[in-house]
Amino acid sequence: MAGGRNFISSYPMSPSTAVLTFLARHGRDLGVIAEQAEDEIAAMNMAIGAWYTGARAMVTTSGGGFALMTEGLSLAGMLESPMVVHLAQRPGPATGLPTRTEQADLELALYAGHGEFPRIILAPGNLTQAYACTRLAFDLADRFQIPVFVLTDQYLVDTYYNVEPFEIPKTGPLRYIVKSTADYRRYTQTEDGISPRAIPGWGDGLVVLDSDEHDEQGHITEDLDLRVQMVQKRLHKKLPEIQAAALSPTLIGPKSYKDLILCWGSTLEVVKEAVTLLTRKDLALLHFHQVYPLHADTAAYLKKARRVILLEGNATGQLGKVIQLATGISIERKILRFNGLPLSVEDVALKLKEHLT
Amino acid sequence: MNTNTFDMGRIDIAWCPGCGNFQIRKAVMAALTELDLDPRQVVLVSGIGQAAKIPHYIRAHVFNGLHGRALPAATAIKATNPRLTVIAVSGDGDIYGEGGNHFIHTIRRNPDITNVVHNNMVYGLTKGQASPTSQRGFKTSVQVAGVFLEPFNPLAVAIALDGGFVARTFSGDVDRTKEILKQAIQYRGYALIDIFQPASHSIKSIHSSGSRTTPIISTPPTTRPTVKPPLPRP
Repeated sequence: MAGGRNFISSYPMSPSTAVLTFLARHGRDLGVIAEQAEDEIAAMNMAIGAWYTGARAMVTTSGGGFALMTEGLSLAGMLESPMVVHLAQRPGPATGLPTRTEQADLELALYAGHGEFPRIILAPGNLTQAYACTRLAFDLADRFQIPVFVLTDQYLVDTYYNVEPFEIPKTGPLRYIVKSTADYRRYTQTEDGISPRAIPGWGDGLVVLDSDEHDEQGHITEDLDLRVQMVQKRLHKKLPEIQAAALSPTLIGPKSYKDLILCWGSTLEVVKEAVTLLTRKDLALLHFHQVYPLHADTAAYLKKARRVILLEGNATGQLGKVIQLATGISIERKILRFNGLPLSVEDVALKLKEHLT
Repeated sequence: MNTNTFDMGRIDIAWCPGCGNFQIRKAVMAALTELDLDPRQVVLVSGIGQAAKIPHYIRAHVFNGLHGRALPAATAIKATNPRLTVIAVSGDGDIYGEGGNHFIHTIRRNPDITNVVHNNMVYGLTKGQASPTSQRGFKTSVQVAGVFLEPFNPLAVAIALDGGFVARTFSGDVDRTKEILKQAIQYRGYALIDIFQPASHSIKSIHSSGSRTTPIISTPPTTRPTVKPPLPRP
C-alpha cells in the first residue's frame, strides 16, 4: 500500500492468493479496486488497462498462472506500460507440488514474454524486505515504464513472525504521470528512452497505445527505420539507468572473507543462521534481493573469494546462470535443494561444512 | 452525416476498398459526434484483426492491445476512470474466438462499456480462415472440406447470460447502426452490438470456392435490430 497500489486483478492460485484476498477484504477502506478475473490472461490485461488510465496496478500469481500472463507481459513491454508482478513460486513443472516451496521460476520471470524488452526482478529475503521491495517495485515500474517482478515463494509468503513496524513514508509515492497538451505524443523520443506518460482524461491530448510497432504518436507503423528507433528507445536507451538503479547484494559476515556463500530470495534468514552456527571467521554470505539486472559490484565480490558456494532452491542453479551471463564467472560448488521443503539451518550448516573441508 | 469531431481527416486506411469496416467507422464517428462527446473523454479499445485497426482511424484515445483481450482492458479502463466513455471494438474472431472466455465473463460482470463486434464470419487479417461465426460448409484454406461446426451464436449467449443490451445490425445500414450505437453508448452497463459486415477480400474466396456461404454476403440478413430492453440493475 505504501507503494501507492490501488488496483489488483488476479486469478486465485496457491501460494499467491493471500495478496488478492487481503486487498479484497480491505479494498473499500484502502481505496483499492480488487477484481477476481476469469483467468490470468484477463488479470494481466486488466492491470495494463488500469495503469493506462492512471492506477497503480499489480497482479499476483504463481508459475502456471504466470505462464498465461506472459502474453500480456509482452504487451506491457511493447506499450511501455508499468507493471508489478508478484510471482510466488512453488515447485513445478505443471501443477507440481501446489503447497510446497521452490525457487525455480527465476528464469521464467527473466525470459517470459515474446520479443525483447527490459525488466527488473526483485527477490525479498524476509518480511521487512518484502515490504521494501514491493514499494520499490511500484516506483521502478512507474519510473522506467517497464514490468517489475517481486519474486517470492511459498515459504516466504506463508511465513509469520513479529517484525519492527515498517517505515511508512511521510509523503505519498512519487507519481510520474504528466498532464497532456494538445500535441501530446505518448512515445516521444528522449535521451533516456523514457517518454512522459499521460493518461486519458487529464489534459488536452490523446493517449494512443498500440501493441503493433508504432510511431511517436502511438499509431501502427511499418516504417522499419522507425522500428529500429523504437526498439532502441524502449530497450537500449533505458538500460543504463535501470542498471544504475540496481540494488547491491548484501554482504553479511567479515569483509575479509575467503569463502563466500551466495543465496537469493527467501533463503536469507536460514542461511544467515547456518553461517553463524559454523563460527568461521573467513566465511561470509552474499544475499541478492535483486536478481536481475545484477548490481555492477557482483563480479568484484566473487573475485575476492577463494571458494564460492551457490545455494539455491532449484535443480539447476538459476541465479548461478544469471551470474555467469552478467560476469562470465562460473560457480562450480552448488547446494541445490528441490524436494519442496524449506531449508533447515542444520541441513544447510552440514552441507556447507562438506564443501568447506 | 456529421462525423467531424472524430474524423482524423486525410489518413491512410489499410482496409480493402468496399469493406464494410468503412461504414462501421462512419457510423461510430457519427454516433459519437451526435452524442456530443469530446474525443478526450472517449477511449477506443481493440484487439487484433482488420476490425481492430479501427481506433487508428478515429480521433480519440486508443488502447489497441492483444488479439482477444480488448474486453478485460476495457473493463479496467472504465473501472479506473468511470468518467470515460469506453468502447471495445473488434472482430468476431477476436471477441468470440480468442477472447471467448472474456466475452462470457464481461457480460456477467456488466461493466458500463459498449462492445462493437464487426462480424464478417471470416478471418480477414490472416486471409480467409473460418471464424467462430462462419456458416457450415464454408470452405477455406484450413477448413478444406468446409466448416462442419455449428456457428457460434453471440446474441443467444449474451441473452442467456442476461446481457442488458444485445443488438445486431448490418453495416450497410449506416443510419440504423448509428442509432443503435447511440443507444448502446448511453446504456448504463455492458452493451453488445454485433454488426454483420461483408469482407470484400473474402467475397472473392467464397466465389472461387463455390461455397454455400455466398448468400450471407450477397443478401444481407435482416436489418431489424434485436434489442433486449435494459434490465433494471440493483
